[in-house]
Amino acid sequence: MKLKYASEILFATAFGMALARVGFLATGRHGRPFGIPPSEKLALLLGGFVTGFTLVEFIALLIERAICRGELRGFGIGRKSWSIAGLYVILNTFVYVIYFMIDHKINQRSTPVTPGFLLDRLVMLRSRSILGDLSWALVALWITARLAGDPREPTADAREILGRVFAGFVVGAAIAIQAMITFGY
Amino acid sequence: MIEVSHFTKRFGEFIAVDDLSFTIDRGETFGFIGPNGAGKSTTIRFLATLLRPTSGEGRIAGHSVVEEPMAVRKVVGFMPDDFGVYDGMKVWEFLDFFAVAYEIPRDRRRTIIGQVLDLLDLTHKKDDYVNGLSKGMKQRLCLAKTLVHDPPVLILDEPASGLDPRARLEMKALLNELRRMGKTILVSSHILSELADFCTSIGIIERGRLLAAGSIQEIQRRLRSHRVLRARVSDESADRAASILRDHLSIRSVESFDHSITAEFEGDDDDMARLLRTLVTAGVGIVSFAEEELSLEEVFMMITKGVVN
Amino acid sequence: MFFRENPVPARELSVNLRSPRAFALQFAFVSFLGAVVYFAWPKHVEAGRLVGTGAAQNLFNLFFLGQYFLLAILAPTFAAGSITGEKERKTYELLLASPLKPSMILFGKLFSSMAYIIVLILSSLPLMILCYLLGGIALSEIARAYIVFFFSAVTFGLLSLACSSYFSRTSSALLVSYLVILPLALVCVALTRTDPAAEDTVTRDFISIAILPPWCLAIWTIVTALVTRRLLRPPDVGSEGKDVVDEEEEMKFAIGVVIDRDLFPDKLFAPAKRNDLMPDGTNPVLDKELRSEIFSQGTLMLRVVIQVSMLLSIPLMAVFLFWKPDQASNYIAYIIIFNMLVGPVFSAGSVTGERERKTLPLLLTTLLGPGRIVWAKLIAALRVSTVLTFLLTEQLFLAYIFVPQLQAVFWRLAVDLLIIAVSCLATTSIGLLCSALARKTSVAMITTYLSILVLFVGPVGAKMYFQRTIDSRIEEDRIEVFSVLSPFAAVFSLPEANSDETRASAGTGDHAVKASSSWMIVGGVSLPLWSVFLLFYPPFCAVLYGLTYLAFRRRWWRAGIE
Repeated sequence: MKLKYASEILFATAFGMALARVGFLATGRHGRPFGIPPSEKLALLLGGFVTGFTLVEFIALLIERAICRGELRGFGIGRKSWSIAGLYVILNTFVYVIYFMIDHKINQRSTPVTPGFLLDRLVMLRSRSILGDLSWALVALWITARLAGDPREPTADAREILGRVFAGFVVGAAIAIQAMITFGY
Repeated sequence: MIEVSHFTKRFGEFIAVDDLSFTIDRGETFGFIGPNGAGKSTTIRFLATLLRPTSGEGRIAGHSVVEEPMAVRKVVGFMPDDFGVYDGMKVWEFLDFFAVAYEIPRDRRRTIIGQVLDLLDLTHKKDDYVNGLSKGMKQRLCLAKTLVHDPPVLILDEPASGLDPRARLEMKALLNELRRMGKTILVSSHILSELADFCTSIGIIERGRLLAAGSIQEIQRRLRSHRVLRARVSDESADRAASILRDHLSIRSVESFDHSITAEFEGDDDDMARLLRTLVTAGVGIVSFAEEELSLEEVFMMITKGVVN
Repeated sequence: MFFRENPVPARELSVNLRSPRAFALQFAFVSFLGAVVYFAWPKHVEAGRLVGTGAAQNLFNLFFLGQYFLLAILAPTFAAGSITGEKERKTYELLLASPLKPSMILFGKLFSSMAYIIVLILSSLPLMILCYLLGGIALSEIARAYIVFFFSAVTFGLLSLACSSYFSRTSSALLVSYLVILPLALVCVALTRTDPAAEDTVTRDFISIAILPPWCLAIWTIVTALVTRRLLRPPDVGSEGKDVVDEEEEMKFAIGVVIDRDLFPDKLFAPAKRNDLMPDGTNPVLDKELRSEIFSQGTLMLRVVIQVSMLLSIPLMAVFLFWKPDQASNYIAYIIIFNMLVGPVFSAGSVTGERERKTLPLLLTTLLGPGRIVWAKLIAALRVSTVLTFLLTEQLFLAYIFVPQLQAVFWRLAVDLLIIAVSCLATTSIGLLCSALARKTSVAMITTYLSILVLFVGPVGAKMYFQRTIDSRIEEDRIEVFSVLSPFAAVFSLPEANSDETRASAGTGDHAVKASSSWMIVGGVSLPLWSVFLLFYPPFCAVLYGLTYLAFRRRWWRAGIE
């Protein structure tokens, strides 16, 4: 692992934590200050964390792609996971922002879109779905790769490996939270 | 070129060097001989501006070692007896480092480093790491380092210690080469044969005192009031030869064993020629007749008493 | 067999314990502890009987913490140098070639390095008993404390020995042992602390008697196995070329982070190696230090340091920056502690290292003046330690941007960074001064650590001590003055962000009320403590640099090397 990548991970972790905090506090501000079940608390924390981590890593992936244009190497499962997760978050937010802007401009209904508001909404509303929907998308990606008979990369670099670990983490978290909900926590 | 007057160095109670004085002229190769711990390195470190004297003064090329260390460092190339090298540096980087430290401009550095590497036969090791070199190579590298600023004076402390016989010979050849280049060299050693071949003068030091200094012949002459004759004679004339020698005026004592005779002789070369003629005319069959040269080793053993060790 | 027939401890003990230094250290230790007890002792005997319980518990607690951290600090100083010392003195191969079994060597080294510390700790027993006389502490409590001491001491010693066998320089071994040991010590103290206020004594006793020993035993077994294997087949002993570390070769087998100085953040440590001669006007010493020497022993030490510090920073930032941003100062304190450990490593060995490797006569007979040499050493050491430290600050930026409470005190970020930078400067300058004054790197390192500890932690510790003790015979204000020396005091004097609770109740933008201690009156002007700190250290470091210059000039450049 290169030092650059190590500090990138640290940065992503910090960003994830920052979003986890934003998400967690946002719940308190936007209604339901009491009575949030533990499963939801955990989902908000982890969802925020995953969102932040993904965003940083996805942008890093884009930069990596832009810089080494010469030697195009195929994406392994890890890089594909970053890509899917990052695009999922970004596209979702994009749609959301468009919706709110239109809603505000034309229908004059909702509040104007400010960065703080956006951040709150991004983390709070997506945290459940990112752990739910995204994890199944990642599992689907993995199964697809196996079905298609993609070769396993023997010399995976750190980004690749971390992508797989991350995908595993997301799936694990989703299952854990689902289990908590099932057993009524 | 090098001038030491009344240099004394004390470490606490211990007197390492006591009132040492000598001079080395330009172009000379001065061998500094003494047993281990005699004060050679102390004197050399003093001359290399690394040690402040308790008293006394030293001058190199007219500059005071104590007062103008920078001027002295400019004209002196110094190689310590026990030195280390920097880790993680390549041979050329090592030389470049010292060349910059001696303020040599970049374009001159390039040629000088090439020349020095060439002179010391290190060109093929140019890109090796210095801490991976063998002892002999390191020794050569250090000598190369002392040459980068082309100093007229070289002060080398035990340059051949710890080298294998081949490297020792090579080092000797190098020093000869440097002498031919007109450098004034001060070289120390505790191994006499190393110095005997190429030193123009020597200084013998023991227990911090300089016992003798000057050219080898001069010291030899000073050491003995008499010369030693060694002769081999034919079988039948041995007794006669011995008796003739015993009666001769300039002979002080005679020892004979088998066919060889050793005699202590007082007088100059003419006297010796006359003695030989006397023997020959007396009908002694002479196989060989020569004055015994004192080897440096014997000079050393005669001068020092070997007390240091 | 291990004791009587083992020559290793016999030799080491006779060297270590016979020296006057050992006596002086023990004297200082006991008199320091004596002073602590004396000042904390209840003033009136009658009153003492009444308040004795609380005072005794306080004292005992103080003793436990103080000694524990002393143990954590001292254990590596003895143990981390014990094998690297053999390597540096070139007696390592002699030792390995002897018929001694590796386990005997290891045991001997451990025993001899721990013996002195155990003597130190035992010499505090009478003072602890004195606290017992005040009442309020059970004997079992004292026994428990000593069990924790014993197991921790041996664990720390073994870990330091392991570091010592893996590195080739004492300074690296020392640094890495500290980095490994201090977090362990913190965890151990947190789990087994003798806080009289803690009500849950059962868990605490359970942890210290039933959980700590087995864990320690497990660590001992693993470490012993690793080290004996390394001693039996040492990979770091061999032919002449063994000293050369090939960076590329090393990178292939590296676990975790690798350092490649052609890449961006790695480049900050040191520029890549030259392919051509230096340009005119370069400071050759600076060039040499940065390009050749930093990585000459391989990058193992640097890599371990980076990884440990980054891993530690993750939970710390989670807690102090994102969970409880009102305690953000603790994260800065962590960065400063890290710098306290790392800063001296690169500077404290820079002059002594030249002497030990016998390159000093070569360097001193060149035309380089003492000023250029010392300056180059300062800059090189400062650069590495600053880069290492600032690798941990990227989280700070994020926290100040994304956490609203911290956003409200955004200007603090600049002050935080300044305090960290000034601390880097201070640790490096102190290290360099010690290096110019000492003869051996190990001595220079330990003196540096001690001086930094006294300067940085001393004032805070003294203040806490006098606040805790029931009646203080020394004016608190006088101690207050010294807190300008401590970056910790400076950081904690900064206004904290509002906690979530106060924010919820008092609305936004309301800063916490500053404690009176965060202001200082200098020449009639009332200044916040942190600004006095920032104003004090740069000139102080300039003075230190001047002293270093003079020391180097007098001791080495003019006087030479005996």
